[in-house]
Amino acid sequence: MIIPALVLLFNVNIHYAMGASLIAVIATSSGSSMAYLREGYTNLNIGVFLECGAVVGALVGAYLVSYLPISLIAVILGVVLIFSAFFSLKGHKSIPTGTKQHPWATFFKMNGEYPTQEGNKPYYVQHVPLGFFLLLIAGLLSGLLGIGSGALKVLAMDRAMRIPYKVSTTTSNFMIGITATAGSGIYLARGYINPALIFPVVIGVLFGAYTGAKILKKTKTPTLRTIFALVIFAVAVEMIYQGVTGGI
Amino acid sequence: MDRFIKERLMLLMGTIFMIALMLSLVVTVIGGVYFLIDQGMESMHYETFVKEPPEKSSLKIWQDALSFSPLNLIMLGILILILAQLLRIALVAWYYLRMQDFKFLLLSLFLLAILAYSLFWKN
Repeated sequence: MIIPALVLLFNVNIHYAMGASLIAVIATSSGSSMAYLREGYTNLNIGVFLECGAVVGALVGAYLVSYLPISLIAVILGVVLIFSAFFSLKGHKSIPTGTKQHPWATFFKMNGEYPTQEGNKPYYVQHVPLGFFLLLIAGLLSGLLGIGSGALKVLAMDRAMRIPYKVSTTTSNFMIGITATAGSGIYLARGYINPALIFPVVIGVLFGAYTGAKILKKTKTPTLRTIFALVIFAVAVEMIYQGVTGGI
Repeated sequence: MDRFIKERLMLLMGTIFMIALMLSLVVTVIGGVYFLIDQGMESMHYETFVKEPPEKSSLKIWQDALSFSPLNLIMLGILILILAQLLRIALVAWYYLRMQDFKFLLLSLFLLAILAYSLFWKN
């Protein structure tokens, strides 16, 4: 959401907006991931294995940015935002975790346990190659658009690999910052990262995260989710329109 | 491997990483406040992307960042944030080394190599 806000509201060039967004992604994902790691939900083995695909994708994506027209990047971002809005609106339905052992999951020691109210529950990771491929795509989008691709990462782990939702979200949070870092070196060298623009964005993100967490306690989640999805959808349509008509 | 050692390693990794994050935040904020005092009243223009040919090497970015002008201080904060991620993966590699899990040690070293390549690709 940082990119459309900067581009559509503040008339900032999309390359600078992508650079600011990438740094904001690294900053926000860093803050909580180590705390999650200690809580026992994050599966470090899954994170490290899948991240090997995501960083390669991110490197390729970041490299491609300067070879693609801005209008195409805006349209891709719009489409990704519509997908995020759709999945945010749909909410999360828990699906049963797998019971069969996947040979890759066994080889890479990905199966684990997670804390529940009835004690630790085991889970068996499924469809590892598909998950790896989806993470490669998530990395590519992260580098290409300057986003975290958190939704796609969670989707790959939760739906395709049948990893418990809580484990998927915390492991994804651990991975987002690393994926974004893989693209940041190229963004830096190409001058997309502008310090004067990033300072207010980082302060805004930190302030927003702090106050947002407080408001969240008093707000009903379904209402919040609907408002959030509608705003994203409207922004996505505007982004695609501007991209197609050459307004960006 | 002993659960106690595992938890202690995690705690140590978290603490080192958090110190790096705090350092990055402090440097960025100092640079930002300095920038606001220095050039806060000027209006900014970011409508067009100004390409800086040739692409800057990370070494040049580091040299610039260490010159301590307001904008370069913010850049130094951003660089520390990026380096903190490399540090995080280095700590993960160290963790696997301590756990004698060489398969994952290799994977984390691969991650570290990709991140380092991205950061230094123009040198």
